[in-house]
Amino acid sequence: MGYFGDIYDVSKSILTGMGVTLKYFVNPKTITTVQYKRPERRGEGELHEVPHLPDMHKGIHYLETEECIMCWQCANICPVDCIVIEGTRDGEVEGAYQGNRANLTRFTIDYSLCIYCNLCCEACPETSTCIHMGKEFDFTSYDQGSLVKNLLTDEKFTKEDLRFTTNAQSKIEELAEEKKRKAAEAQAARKAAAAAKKAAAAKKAASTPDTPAKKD
Amino acid sequence: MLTGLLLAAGSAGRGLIDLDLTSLPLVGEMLAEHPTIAWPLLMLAIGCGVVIGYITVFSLLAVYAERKISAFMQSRLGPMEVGPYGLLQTAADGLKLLAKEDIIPRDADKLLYIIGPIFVFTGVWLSFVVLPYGPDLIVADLNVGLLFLAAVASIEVVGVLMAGWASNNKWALFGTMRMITQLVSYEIPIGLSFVAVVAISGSLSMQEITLDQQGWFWNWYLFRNPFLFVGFFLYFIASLAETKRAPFDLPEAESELVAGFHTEYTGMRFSLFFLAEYAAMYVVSATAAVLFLGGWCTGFAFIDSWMMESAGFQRVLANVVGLTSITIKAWFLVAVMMWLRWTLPRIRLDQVMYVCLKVLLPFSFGVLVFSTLWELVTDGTLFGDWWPLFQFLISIGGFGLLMMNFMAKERPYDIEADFRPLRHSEVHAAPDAGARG
Amino acid sequence: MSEQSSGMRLQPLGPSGDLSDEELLKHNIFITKADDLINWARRSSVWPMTFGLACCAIEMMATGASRTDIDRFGSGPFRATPRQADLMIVAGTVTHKMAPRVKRLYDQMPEPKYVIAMGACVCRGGPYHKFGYHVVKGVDLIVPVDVYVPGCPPRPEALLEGVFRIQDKIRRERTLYYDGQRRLTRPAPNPRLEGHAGNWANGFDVEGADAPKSAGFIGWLREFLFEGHGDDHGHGHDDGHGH
Ligand code: SF4
Ligand code: SF4
Ligand code: SF4
Repeated sequence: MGYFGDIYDVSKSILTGMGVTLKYFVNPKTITTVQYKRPERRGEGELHEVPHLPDMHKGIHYLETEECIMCWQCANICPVDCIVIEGTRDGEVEGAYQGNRANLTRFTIDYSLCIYCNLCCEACPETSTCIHMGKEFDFTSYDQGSLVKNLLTDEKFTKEDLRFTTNAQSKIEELAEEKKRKAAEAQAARKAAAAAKKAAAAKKAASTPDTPAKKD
Repeated sequence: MLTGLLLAAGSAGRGLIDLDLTSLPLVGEMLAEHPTIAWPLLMLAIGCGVVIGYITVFSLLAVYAERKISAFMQSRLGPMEVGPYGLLQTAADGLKLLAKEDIIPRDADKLLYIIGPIFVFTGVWLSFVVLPYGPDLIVADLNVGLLFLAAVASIEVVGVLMAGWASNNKWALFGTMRMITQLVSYEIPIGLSFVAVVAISGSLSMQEITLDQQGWFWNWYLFRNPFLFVGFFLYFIASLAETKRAPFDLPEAESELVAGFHTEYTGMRFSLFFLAEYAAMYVVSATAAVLFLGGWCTGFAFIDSWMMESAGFQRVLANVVGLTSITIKAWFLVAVMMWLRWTLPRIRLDQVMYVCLKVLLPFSFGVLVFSTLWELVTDGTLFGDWWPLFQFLISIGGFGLLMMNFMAKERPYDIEADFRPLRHSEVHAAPDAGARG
Repeated sequence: MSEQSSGMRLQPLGPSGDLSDEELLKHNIFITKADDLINWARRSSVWPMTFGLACCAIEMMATGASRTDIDRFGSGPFRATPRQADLMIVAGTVTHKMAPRVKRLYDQMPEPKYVIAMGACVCRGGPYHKFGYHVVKGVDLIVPVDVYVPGCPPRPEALLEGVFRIQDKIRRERTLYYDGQRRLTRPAPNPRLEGHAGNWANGFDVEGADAPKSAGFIGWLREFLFEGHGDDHGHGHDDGHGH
């Protein structure tokens, strides 16, 4: 190449590069910017619309509440433990959200932890596939507390929601107590019945002394 | 400084310098003695104001233009939301910088830190004094205009050295060292290009250099002879390095030095550097326009002669035409600088020095010698009045040949020759027998 | 006058009440307008710092690229030095080793400065929340965060939304308006700082980072407006906070 060859090559490549940039500069068709709008410039419907959002995009979750059987599969599999589910399958709680044979008082996802891995949606039982990842992506907020989404209301998890959840807790416990008591009662009844049966059998056995008891 | 010395030697030999500074009395005494001096002083004050305003407005527009140009070249849109098409973007930037907190680092040399940006800005600002904008539009038509230009351009180096040293920051210091290496080296080709022009014009005054290029555009020094044609490109490349523009923007290289010499500067002081950089772009472009592209001359003989002969209101109009002419030329060159910046990547420091010392320097010596010889031989009128046109055709013809050569279809690149996969025997054969045993 | 002004009576300036209504109104309108202008400038040119720590940084770069062009909103110039940046986008996992540097960079930025916590890692540890022995569980343990952008990583559009939130926040700020109390432009320190985790976060070695600050042009203007003739009007001197 040599000295002059280098200079020639450099000049040539510079001019070629300038030609390429000029082509892009003068041709408006090359512009690929999609003008994402400010909130105040958006219309009503296009709140979080983004053209070219891929079909596989995994965004903010939503829940088909009436399908949820409250099986805790999603909460168990979540790698960062950001799903919190509260509720009861034991009875009615006032103001609770009706699931499938379940009363949900809280179903939240903490987006300061969620890593959008889709595992919760995979884990949800096939009979009631009800948690999905939607198309929305914007969950920005001014403080960490409001990074939590209430999937039952499809809104941010507010203080009222928290109050309701906390209040419902006693009712849930009551229900659980009641269930336990009922279960205990039922068991006691069963036990009593069994004991009575046994006693009856023992009486029978006693009344027929010539037949020895096999197990004692 | 080297340029200054060279030019001083050259011009003193020709008896061009007749500045007599010893007779300059104090301004107040002068005003008392000669009340008529008030008028030029007032003009000077107005000139200062106009120049500062012009620098600011130009920088605002240039930054906006640069962001738009870069955006379009990168398939983006650039500023769109602040004002219509983002037109107010740079105004908002400036106002924000003004309202930013002003930090002086604890261990900084406070005095130098404060006057550094002022020096840089002043150096550029002073250059506007000798730039001609029209037949009458020049702040001071110094008879050593070009020498003055080269001298005040060196003030910037001092300001940068102050800023970088006083910041007490290693990145700032590295940036400063690079900047000084680069500026001092590139002043030599710039000075040599100046001398080549001065050798032809026979004057250091910017106005006279401009007047020498009147008439049709083939009278411009760019087409004066084939060697000055090359000299223009040498000057342009060297001025890119003088103004720290890409591909010579090593002093501000973000990937290795955080922000170069202004790493520690915030808010207003930083925007002074910013203004100075864009103003310097304008100054070198306007200088190139004056030296090679006919300054405020329009390139059409009839308009130029009308401009010189007009009087009264027509004279005002002529000045406006001249202002438009030089502004278009200078802004075009600024646009080319931006175009280059967004095309080329940054080069290494050793490459910067190679370009200066091994390419630009010998070439500009050649330009100086051969263009002077050409002038001596042809004497400006070899074939009568149409000689300038012939010269123009020679320059353009040479350039066209080069371009055709560039455009010529290349032999397709033979990837086999350069990246031929190694054969099995070559991979496994040991270079010498001893290694195997 | 009083009929008209009673409806649009503005907040009185400072503790003093001896300004006439008219004077007060003028004062206030000037200051409100100037404040609006400064806020407009600030929110129109929020320059982020070139600062990426992990995978989220890729998405931050995508935000600056052609499809979602952050330069449209004036946030294009990513400054490499904290001294010239307004916004720190903490994009990526903040490890314990990186935490002092993040804090130092934040300290080196000039006021007014804003922080966006981008990604789950920076919000509260994200994937490293449970077992990440090496990760700071949320950058708000180190620096005050203005806007949280959750996601892993967030889409570029989500980061744009974060920048809009910052701009909304700047719009509500008061720079020159002075009601007798000094306020910080940044939010109050995070209460989480007081806990166990805060102790080590506060003990960072940041020598040299806390540069002496002078108030700059705005400080001068505020002094000129309120303190320069404070004796007549009584602003700024009798609250004990001044100077
Ligand atoms: S997407 Fe992953 S991290 Fe997020 S809630 Fe579902 S399982 Fe948990
Ligand atoms: S896995 Fe599905 S059904 Fe079970 S609790 Fe979660 S959302 Fe409800
Ligand atoms: S939030 Fe996710 S994408 Fe962002 S840095 Fe953490 S792991 Fe990477």
